[in-house]
Amino acid sequence: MEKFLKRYQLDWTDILYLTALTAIGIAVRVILRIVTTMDWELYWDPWIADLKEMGFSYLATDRYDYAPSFVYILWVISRLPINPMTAYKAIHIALDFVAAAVMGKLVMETTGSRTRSFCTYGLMLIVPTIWADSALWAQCDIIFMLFILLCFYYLFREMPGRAMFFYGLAFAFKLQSLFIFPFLVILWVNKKIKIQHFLWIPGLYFLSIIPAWIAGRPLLELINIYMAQGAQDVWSLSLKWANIYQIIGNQFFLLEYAEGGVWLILGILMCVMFAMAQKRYRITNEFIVQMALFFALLTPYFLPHMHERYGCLADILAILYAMMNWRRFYIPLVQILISFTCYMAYLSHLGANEPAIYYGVMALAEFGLLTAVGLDVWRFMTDKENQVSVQEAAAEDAAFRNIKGKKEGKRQNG
Amino acid sequence: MDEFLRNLIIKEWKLGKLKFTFLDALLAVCITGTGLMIRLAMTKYEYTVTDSRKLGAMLIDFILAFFCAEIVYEYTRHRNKAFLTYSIFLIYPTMIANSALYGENSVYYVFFFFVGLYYFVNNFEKKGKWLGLLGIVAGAAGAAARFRLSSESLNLGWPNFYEIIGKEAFVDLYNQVSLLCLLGILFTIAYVFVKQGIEITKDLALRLFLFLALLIPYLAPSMPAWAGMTADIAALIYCMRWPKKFYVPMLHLIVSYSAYALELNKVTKLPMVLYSVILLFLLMDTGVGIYEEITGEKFARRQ
Repeated sequence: MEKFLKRYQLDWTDILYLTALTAIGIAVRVILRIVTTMDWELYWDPWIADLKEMGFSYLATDRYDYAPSFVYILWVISRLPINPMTAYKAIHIALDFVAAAVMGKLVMETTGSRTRSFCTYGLMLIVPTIWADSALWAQCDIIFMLFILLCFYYLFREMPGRAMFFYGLAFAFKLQSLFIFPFLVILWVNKKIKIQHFLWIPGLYFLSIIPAWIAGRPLLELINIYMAQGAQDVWSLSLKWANIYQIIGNQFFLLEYAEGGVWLILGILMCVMFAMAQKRYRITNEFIVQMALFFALLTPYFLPHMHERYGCLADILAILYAMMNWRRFYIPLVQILISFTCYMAYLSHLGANEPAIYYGVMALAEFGLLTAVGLDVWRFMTDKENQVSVQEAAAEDAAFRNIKGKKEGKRQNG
Repeated sequence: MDEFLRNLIIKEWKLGKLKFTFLDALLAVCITGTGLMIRLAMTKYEYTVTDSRKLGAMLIDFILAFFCAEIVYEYTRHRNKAFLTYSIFLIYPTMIANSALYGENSVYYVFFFFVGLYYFVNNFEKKGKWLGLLGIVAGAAGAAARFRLSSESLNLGWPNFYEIIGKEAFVDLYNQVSLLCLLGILFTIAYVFVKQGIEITKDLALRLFLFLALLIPYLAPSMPAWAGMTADIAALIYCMRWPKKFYVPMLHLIVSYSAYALELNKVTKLPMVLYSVILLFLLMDTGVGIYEEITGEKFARRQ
C-alpha cells in the first residue's frame, strides 16, 4: 500500500477523502435509482421494449428521434438479463464517475494542485444537476458531456486531433454539443486546431448512423434526425430554461420567434466570433474553459425551445472555471442553482406554474452570469500580456509550417 | 447637585479586577430588567404553556448573553462592545421569541455551541481547546436529539435551499440525498483545511463557526423556523469583531424573525424565497471572509 501511495504521490488523507466522496456519490445515486420519470415511461421504456421484441430491425423504424448512437446503447440494454431501468441508470451513473475523474484530471493539468483536483472529483459527484440527470431523471446528457471533457483534456495536452475525435463523438450523441462549437473556431483561428480535424464531426456522425442505415432506416432521415428532433416540443419558446424568452414572453409569436431566434443567435455568434478572431492571443487552458463556458451560456440563452436540462454543460464548465480561478466561485454556485431549479420545475410537475423564483428573475441572473464570463473573456483578450505580437505570430506560423512540413516529409520517407 | 450627578455617572468603580462606571452599572441593571420584562410580557398570554422548561430557557438566555459578551471581549478587548453584546442579546427578538413566546427552548442546545466557542477562544493559547470541542459536540448532540425528519416537506419553516427548488417533491429521497451532499461538502472543507495545513486561528474559528451555522441549516432537510438561531447569535459576535459586517446580523435577524412570523402568524409579508436568496448571499459573503482570512488577500482584487 505504501508503495502505491508513493507511486501516485498520495497520502491517507487523499485516500480517505476520495473513498468517502465516492461512497457518498454512490449512495446518492443508489437512493435515487428507484425514481421513474415521465421521460422513462414515454420514451426509453417503450423503445427498449420494442428493441427487445424487434431486435436490431427496430433501428429501421422511425419510432426513435434520438441519435442512433444512443439507441445502440438501448439495444445493448435490451439484451441484458436485468431490469432495463437499473441497467440504463447504472451505465449513466458509471459515466458520472468517469466524468468526475476526467474533471479532476483537467484541473490537475491546469493548476497542478492535487487538492483542487481531488476536490473537483468529489464536488462533481455531489453536484445536483449531475446526479439528478442520470440517477433520477434517467437522462443521457452525461455521455456527450464526458466526450466534451475528454475533448478538453486533449486540447490541454495539445493533441487537437484526438480532441476533435472526442468532440465528434459528443456530436454523434447529442446536438447540444454544438452550443460550444464557436470556441473551436476561435481555436482554429489561433492555430490550435487544423481544418481537417473538424472532419471528425461529420465523419463520426456518419459512421454512427451506418448500422441504422444498414438496418433499413433511410439515410436522409438519419442525417436529418437532429432537425426532426428540433421540430418537436415547439409549444413554447423556452421549455423551462431560464433564457431571454422567459423575459420577453415565451408563449407569443411562437412561429416567428422560433425561426427568428435561430437567426438571432447565429448573428450574435458571428459578431462575437468576428470580434474574437480579430486578434491573436495566448491560448491558455483557463481561457479555453472560459471561452467554452461563455458559449455554453450564450447559445441556449438565445436559442428557442431550450429544455430545462440545457444548462448542464455550462454547469460542469462553470465548476472547472471556478476550480481554476477561485474568485469565480459564485459562477457555478448561481449557475447550478438556476439549472437545478429548472430541473425541479420539470421533475416536480410544475406544469405551467412558475417556480418559487420566477423564470424571468432566473433569466436575469443567467444574463448576469453571461455578462460576468463575457467580461472575463474580454479582459483576457484585451490584456496586453496575453496578446501575441505580429513577430510572435509570424514565428508561430513558421513553426506551424515547419511541423507540418516535417510531418509530411516523414510520411513521404516512411 | 447637578455636578455631583454628572460626575457620578462617569465615575469609575472597582470591584476586584472589574472596573465599571455608574452608567455601566445602570445599563446592566436596566437592560437585565428590560430583558426580563420583555420575556414576561411574552409569557403573559400563554401562546405556549409557561412551564419549568420555558423558565429554564429564559434563564439560560441571560447566561448565554453573558457568555457571548465574554467571547466578544476576548476577541476585541473592548469593554463597551462586550457590554453592548450582553445588552443586545437580552433584547434580541429571535432569542426572546424562541424561549418566551414560541416555547421552543432551542437555547438548551444552542447554549453549548457558544460555551464551546467560549472555551475555544479563551483557551486558545493553552491546551484547553478540547473543552471547546466538547461543548460543540454537546450542542450538536442536543440539536440532533431534537431533529425530526419530515416526510411531508423538505423544510419546516426555515427559508433554505428547498424554498428555491421546491420543497414538496421527492421528500423521502431528498431527505437522505441532501444529508449525504451536506456531508460531502463538510468532508471537502475538512479535506482542504487538512491538506493546506490551515491553522485555525481565533478569527478563523469565528468565521468558520458562523459559516457552518449558516451552511448546515441551509442544506439540511426538515429545518424548522428556528433553525437559524445559532447563526443569529454568531452573526452578532461576528459583527462586533468586524464592525464593517454590520449587515450580517441585521439581514440574518430579519430572515430569522420572518421565519418565526410565518410559523406563528401563518402568513408572510414577503415571499420566503427572497429570504433564501438573502441567506445564500450571507453564506457566500462569509465564505469570502474565510478565504480572505486564510490567504490574507482581498477577494475583490482585480485579476
